Amino acid sequence: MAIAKVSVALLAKQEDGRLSDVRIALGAVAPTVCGAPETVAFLENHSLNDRTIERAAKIVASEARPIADVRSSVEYRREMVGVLLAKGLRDFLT
Amino acid sequence: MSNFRVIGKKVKRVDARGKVTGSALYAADLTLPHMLHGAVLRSPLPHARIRSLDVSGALSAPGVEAVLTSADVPGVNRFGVVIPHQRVLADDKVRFRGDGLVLVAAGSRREAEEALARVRVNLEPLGAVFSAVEAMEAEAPRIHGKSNVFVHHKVRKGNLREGFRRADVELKRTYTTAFIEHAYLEPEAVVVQLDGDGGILVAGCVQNLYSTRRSLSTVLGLPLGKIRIRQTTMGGSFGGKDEVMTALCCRAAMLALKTRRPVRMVNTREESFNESYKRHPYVLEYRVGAKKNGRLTALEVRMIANAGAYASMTPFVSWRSAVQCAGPYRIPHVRADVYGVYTNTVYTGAMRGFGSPQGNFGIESLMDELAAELALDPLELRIRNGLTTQSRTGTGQKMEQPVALIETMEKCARVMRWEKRRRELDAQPKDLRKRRGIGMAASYRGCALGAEGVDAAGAAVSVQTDGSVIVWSGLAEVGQGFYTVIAQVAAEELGVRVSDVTVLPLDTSVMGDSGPSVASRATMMGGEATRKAAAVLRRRMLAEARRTLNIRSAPLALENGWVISTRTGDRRMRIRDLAGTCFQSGVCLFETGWHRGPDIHWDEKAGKGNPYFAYVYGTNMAEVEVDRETGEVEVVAFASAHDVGRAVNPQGVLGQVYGGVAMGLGYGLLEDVEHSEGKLSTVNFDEYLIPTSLDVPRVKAILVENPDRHGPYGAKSVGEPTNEIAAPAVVNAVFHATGRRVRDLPANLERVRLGKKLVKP
Repeated sequence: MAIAKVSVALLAKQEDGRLSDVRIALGAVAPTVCGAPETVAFLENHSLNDRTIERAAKIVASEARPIADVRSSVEYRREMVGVLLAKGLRDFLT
Repeated sequence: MSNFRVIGKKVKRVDARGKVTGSALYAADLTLPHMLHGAVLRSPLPHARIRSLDVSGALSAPGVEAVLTSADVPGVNRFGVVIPHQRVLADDKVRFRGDGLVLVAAGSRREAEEALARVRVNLEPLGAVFSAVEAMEAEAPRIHGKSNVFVHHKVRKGNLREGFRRADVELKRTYTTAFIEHAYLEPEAVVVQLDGDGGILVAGCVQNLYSTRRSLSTVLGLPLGKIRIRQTTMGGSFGGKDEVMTALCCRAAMLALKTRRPVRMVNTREESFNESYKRHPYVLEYRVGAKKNGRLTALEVRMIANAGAYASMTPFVSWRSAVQCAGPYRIPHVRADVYGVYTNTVYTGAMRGFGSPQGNFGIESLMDELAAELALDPLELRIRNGLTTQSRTGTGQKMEQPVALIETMEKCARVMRWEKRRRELDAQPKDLRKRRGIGMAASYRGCALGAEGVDAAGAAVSVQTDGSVIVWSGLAEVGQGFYTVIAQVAAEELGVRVSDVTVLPLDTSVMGDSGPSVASRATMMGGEATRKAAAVLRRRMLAEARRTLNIRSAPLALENGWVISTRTGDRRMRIRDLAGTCFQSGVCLFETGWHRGPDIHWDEKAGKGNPYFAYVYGTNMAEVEVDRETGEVEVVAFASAHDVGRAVNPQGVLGQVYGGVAMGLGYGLLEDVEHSEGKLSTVNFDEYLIPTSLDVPRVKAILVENPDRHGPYGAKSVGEPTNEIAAPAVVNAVFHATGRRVRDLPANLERVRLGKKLVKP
């Protein structure tokens, strides 16, 4: 059995370097799976580049409400929400 | 050594078929007519005085045949090999949350559990302590007697002040390790039935049958001869099926004696986690001095082992940590103080390595840090200081036998292309998201029990009238492949095939007390005992062949099922016919062998001496790729070189290396039995992560054969050495990759990424 410390799902349309219809789901950082509306709003309004990816990672980290349990710590989970979202967003760049 | 026919050849395990097809019977598979099921109620508190136990509700519960408490123990309610203070059922106090309080036997396991739920426990909570460091303080709650510090081993060599005076650099470091679960596939299980005139027959996955039998004798008040333990197939042990199995056997036996019916007790995985002892967490403090050229001048060590609620094997585990504290290095001035301390956590005891995985993580991390401090290659630092033949260990023992330490280092380095990879990886761009690193660790290890006690073991070999062979050993198969090894030994000596040899499961009423199957001693001690017995039979059979064939002087041998003439290679007579002839002539083809290890000397007061009669040497090297964003460590390449003396079954040795490294990687990167005030939060494999096949890289195993005169055909040890240096090798590789030193095990994602420990809820 594998239970994630943190999980991030990202779905978006990409046209001319911009993202639209952005959906983000965050796992294991709140009592239930949750969205990240502030991060979505930010991404919908900015063209995608290294700087905006970094910014989006910060926003999503601040939006998450992780807990500490046997699987991980608050601090690590918060970091990882950003890291994983950035990984996903970078895939759109390549 | 090409003149062996069976020794040194890859042989399929004699127990492989049953295990692979599922036909092997484990204790939990055993069912007997009228059998009852036992269950135990465990303490809800980590430390409390027992006021009263109201079992009336349980007695009237459906299906219940017996409800027992400590008052029902027929003999003395104490067991424990070193300090006999463990209780089958708690009497005065509970000392950790795994202590048993009440036993029930019922028609089904569910009925037994439902009855236990009706027991009313009245406990008076006592102050509890969970950290060994805190338990050493004067005002800490006392768990047994006057002091929680019950072990203090010393090592004293040379003059520490002089050593540090001569040092150019000095380093002080502290490391810590975690509680580790053995994680055997099969949780503890036993079936006990009454046997004849007031005796009992115990069938279970017992690792150390003779010590469990001694405890049964004390607890039940029965003579040893009335207690027969037959070992069932072991679903793994790794040192873990000793005291916890003793408790289970005693409990099932009490229920069987009370009800006059067979009783089965099987722990669930959660029960196994909660009650079974773990590998000790250590705090390891070092101060090391060295010259600029890397030569070590002095080492000061302080280790604190958390023993948990009971002594178990802590006195011996921590003794091995003490005597091997200096690692495989020549250090003129050494001082070590190693403490074992009671706390109210789950207790700790024997686990593969037995005090070396902790100490080796410490000393091998320290050597790596010293190399970085001196800007020396870590391999070069180790070669400059490594033990060589005729040099002296940290306890002052002169290495009279050939030392293969540097050979294991050089062979590993060749396979891993150490120098080239160090250079290439040093040149990686600093800002790479994923960076690689290569690291190493080395060790030496005393074979067998050492100065823990007299080391002796027995075996019996019997050639049947058709030439087939039966072997009994006083040592146990615990999954390590020992029965295959002794089948090979008997086949080698008697000129038959391994498939002609049957090894019977250990039965305490058949073989003499040969001590426990621990300390990687089975092949060395039990293998040599088997060889001695079989060699006597070979000589006896050859004498009979000479008489029957009327050959006076021409040398004969037993080979490939035949009596052959050694000079000409002519086949003179089939071994099976010779066996029949022996029977008809009244020649006894049943023989016992006994092997006693040589005397060793350890002066516990002075902290010096020769703790072991033989040593093995090993090196691990790991290349890792670290995701610097997530802290994920992937082990991409691994080499493990071991001096095994003689690889009796190279296939089995490879299995030991692969399994030992896999466990060692879990120790290094993943495993941590976590608890909050003694309550475990990791009680199954969804929370307690062990490596899966996806986490284990292809391991390049390198076997170095450096025979020792005491083991059969030169064989030494391999089970534990393979498990004691993977963790430091990987953590040192992580440092090479990231520049970040993880000093606390495990080096999990959080520690590698954030450099600190998980914040507990």
